Amino acid sequence: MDLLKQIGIMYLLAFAIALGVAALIKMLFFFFTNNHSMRWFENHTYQSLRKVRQQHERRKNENMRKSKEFENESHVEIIDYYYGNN
Amino acid sequence: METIEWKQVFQGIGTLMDSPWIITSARIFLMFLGMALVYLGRKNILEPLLMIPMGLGMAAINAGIMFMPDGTQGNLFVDPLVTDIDELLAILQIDFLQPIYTFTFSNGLIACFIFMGIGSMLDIGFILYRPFTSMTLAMFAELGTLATIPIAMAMGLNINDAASIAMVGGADGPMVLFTSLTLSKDIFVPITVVAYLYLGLTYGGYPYLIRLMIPAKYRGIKMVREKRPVKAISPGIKLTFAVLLCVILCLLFPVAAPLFFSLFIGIAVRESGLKHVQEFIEGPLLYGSTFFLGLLLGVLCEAHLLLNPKILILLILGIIALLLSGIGGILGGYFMYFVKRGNFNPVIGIAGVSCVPSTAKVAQKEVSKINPDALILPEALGANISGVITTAILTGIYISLLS
Repeated sequence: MDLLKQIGIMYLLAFAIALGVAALIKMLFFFFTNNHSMRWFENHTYQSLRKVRQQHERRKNENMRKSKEFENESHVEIIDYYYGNN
Repeated sequence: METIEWKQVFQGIGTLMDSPWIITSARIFLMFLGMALVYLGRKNILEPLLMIPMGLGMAAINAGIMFMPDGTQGNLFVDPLVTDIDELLAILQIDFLQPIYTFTFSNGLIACFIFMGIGSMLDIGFILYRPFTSMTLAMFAELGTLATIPIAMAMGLNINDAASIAMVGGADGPMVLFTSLTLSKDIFVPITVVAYLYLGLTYGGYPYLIRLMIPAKYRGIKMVREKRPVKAISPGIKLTFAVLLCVILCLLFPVAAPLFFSLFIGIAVRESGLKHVQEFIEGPLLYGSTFFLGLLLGVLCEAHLLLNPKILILLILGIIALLLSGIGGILGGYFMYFVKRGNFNPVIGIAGVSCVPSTAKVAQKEVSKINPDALILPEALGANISGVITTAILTGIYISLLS
């Protein structure tokens, strides 16, 4: 009786895992072939990547602008120092 | 001139004459059986790829027994029972098949190579379309894998040996080899030989079971498929599925992780477009491994090794396991027939027995005989591939719980 119970448990466990695998397959299949979910996937991956890249570009431009301003200002200061402005 | 010791000159005959009658008759029987296997393989009645090397190996090993320097009887092929490291090192330099046996067979590597080959040939798209149907059918077709255990125990086997021989019901050679290597080290040779012998028989025996259990009007059912267009499954999706499933199954059953990994690495190679690697795995690796497996199984059928009192029990249990799995598969087919309200051909159930792709081909052949328009192969292959996964799951459960 114990043996049959043990075998029954093993079968139920195997069946549960098999159905779990089937559910996983179904989920993956639905997710990757459904237009809505693919759009969500793209929004959350490609678009967020694009946002990060845009922020990076913006920051880079800002830095360049600032460094140019600094360069110009320093030039003015150096010229002022050597040649005087008066 | 001294008298010539003819027994020493023709040692094969000499050992036959010097052995007890039971060993002598077993050796003669196995020589003829080996030759018969070669013949049946040549005629395509049994799987030639396995049966020709196995048959010839069986005949040659039983013919080539000689007197060893210590006076005992032995051979120059392989010694599977050696365990002492020093002795093993000596034998590795003498027996020509010992390196292949020690480094590929007894650690399950050859089973893993075959699994890689099977994986690289599997198109998992068939189960991605209908996973629940395929998995349910495959679980029904595992009836023999479970129901044989109490029968085997009633016949006097312990639970480990019973589980090993019950794995024959899963109809997957590498799984039987792997399970018996882990659970039944003492009798893994006869169990594996029985398994491979019977797997060759499924192709011949299952059509009769189908005809016996399913009336012609059900066998000819042509399924009406849904009208909506089938969504394409890209290789990327299949690869994602293979990777996720491999990780999950390895996480659940680390003891069967080598088998899971081998199967899914084959699928991953196929789906990631590594053409040269795929050609290598499904060509030289798979065929080479199957050839050497056949050869080793043949030379392991030496009379001294096979004359185990359990062998007759194993022969009976092996056929019971395969028969029960076939019956379970067909019952699963009927179950799906009722669930789908008649729009399902019950013959597909037999394909849940994971003898890829033999049982799927058998199912389609039987259906085509009644109704040439009925196409069941996609559903049958789905159940077939699921059968490999469910057998691997049961292997994991048996090894985890019983070892």
